[in-house]
Amino acid sequence: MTKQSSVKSQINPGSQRGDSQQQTTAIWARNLSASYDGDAPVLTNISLDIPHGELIAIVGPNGAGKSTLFNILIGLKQPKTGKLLIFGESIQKQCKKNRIAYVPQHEQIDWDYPISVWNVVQGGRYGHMSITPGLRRFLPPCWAAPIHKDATKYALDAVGLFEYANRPIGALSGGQKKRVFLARALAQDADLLLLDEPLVGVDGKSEVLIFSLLDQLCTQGKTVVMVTHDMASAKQYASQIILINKTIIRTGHPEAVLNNEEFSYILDRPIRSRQIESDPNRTHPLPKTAGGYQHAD
Amino acid sequence: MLTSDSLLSHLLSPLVTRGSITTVLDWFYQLGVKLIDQIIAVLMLIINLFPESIVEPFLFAFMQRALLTAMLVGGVCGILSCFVVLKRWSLLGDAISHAVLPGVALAYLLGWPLFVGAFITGTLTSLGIGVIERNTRIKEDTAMGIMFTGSFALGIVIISQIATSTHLIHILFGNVLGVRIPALLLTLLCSVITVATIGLYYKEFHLYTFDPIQAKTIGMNTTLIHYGLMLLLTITIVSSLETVGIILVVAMLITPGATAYLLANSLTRMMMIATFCGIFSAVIGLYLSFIYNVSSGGSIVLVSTMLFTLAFFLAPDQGLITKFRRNRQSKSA
Repeated sequence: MTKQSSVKSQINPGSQRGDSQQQTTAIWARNLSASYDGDAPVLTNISLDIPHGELIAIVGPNGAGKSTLFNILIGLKQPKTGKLLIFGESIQKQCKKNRIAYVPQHEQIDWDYPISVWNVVQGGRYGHMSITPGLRRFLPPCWAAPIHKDATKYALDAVGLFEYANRPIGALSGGQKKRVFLARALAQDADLLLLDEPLVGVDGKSEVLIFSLLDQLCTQGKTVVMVTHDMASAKQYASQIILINKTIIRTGHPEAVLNNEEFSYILDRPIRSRQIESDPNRTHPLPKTAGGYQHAD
Repeated sequence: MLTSDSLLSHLLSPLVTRGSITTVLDWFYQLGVKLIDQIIAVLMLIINLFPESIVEPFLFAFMQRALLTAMLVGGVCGILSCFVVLKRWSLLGDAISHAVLPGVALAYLLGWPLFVGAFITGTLTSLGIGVIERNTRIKEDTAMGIMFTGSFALGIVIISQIATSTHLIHILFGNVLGVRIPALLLTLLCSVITVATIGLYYKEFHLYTFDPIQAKTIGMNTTLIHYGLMLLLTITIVSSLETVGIILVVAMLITPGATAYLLANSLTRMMMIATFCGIFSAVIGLYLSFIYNVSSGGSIVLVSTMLFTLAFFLAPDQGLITKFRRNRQSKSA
């Protein structure tokens, strides 16, 4: 218990709520570890207490196990050891209740798939449709109840893509594509949103829109967890940061975590300086080099 | 031997021993025969609208049965081909259709329903592909190549022991003109099962082909969907064994879907176009095979390939001609 509570207090300082915390935190994990095919473990001793209503960024260098942790959180990969509860229950139960939404990485989607923006966003409602009692659950989505159509329309409006509803997804720009999938998560009305690299291929305007929406969700008490290698954006938008490299290095407020001296030693990857122009309030602007990259030294 | 009559009797043979079940099955069989008569009557009403020279071949009873069988297989293969194309399962469809052969032969030897044997070897082969892929550095396409040629060869060896080469050729290339009522009934049953499953679980299949991880995160059982789709593929392949044959069913499971892929911008529309392509090539191919006295399976697939070629050049958005024009416009602009 002493070890666990020390980890707990790192993430959520000053909270000593005891066992009921399992129910009150959004994500509760203890000593998770994972490995592939008996190789050396990719993740060890991961313990998390992610509270409701926060925007959490999981950051770390390449090969730090970010994707593995993300796959564990969406239930794709079983952790080798440890225990993970989401809203106090197993992932599978929460998935069946549609409380977990997922925004995929750009590469995971086949952009040639013949599907319109409307149908992608409506995909967020499929889970709700499938748990409708009676024979209605078998109806194709075009005959779905009005509540599902309203949710789809609301989500498309929220990301400002309603006029694109009938476009094929392949015809959209990178930022719009990401917004479509965010709309799908909105339509699903989940309590936990998991975003995989939400900033890859996204233009500045979409980025601002996406994060203002995510902020709104957080104020509504929903929890947003994103995995990113983009330190600058993570620092700019997240309310808490979890820095991992095979295990949790440190957690806490973005400024505290990412301004640390040891930070540069952990990262074998230079910080991206793409954010400089869009963030005039940055306290320590990083000089831009010719390649757009800057070593953190 | 592996004729159409034996197909149903073998399908039902384990059940026929009990009296009450036999009467129930008999009742279903009679019902099915009546249903087929009705469907053929409706088909003939439509065909009679055409000029006499076109109607003529379809005055034969065997042509009417062949027409219905080919249309059913074409339509169902059309629907499934969308998933095969979108899921990039072309080679898997090929693998399953070849892997079915030893199962069919063994089931025939042991007196089991043909479908059971076909499904067992089909599943074993797809599992074997997974095992090779996971445990060695061999990639999926090579693993499929190894497994399906192996089981196909096994099937040929077994069949060459128990049947003449004519029967082998019928299984490989189909003989839709020789289809009898029991086989037609089996095809109808398989078509109804497939269409009903896809219709009722459209949402699941749709999301599974587009974004399987999302399907999983909203609590769908993706393993069940995966094997369900594979089961539907196997059912369809077995039921089209006699129409276009094992080898050409692969074409019917890929080409209509590929044609529709070039033309459609939503899954429902893609399924409609693919179904149309499947049925159209079945009807035209059958007619041409009668007129020119050529292999029916071959001509059905050729018509289907023709349709793809047309779409390849003329598709409004993806077609070669549109792309060519667009390139020239962008150059001149």
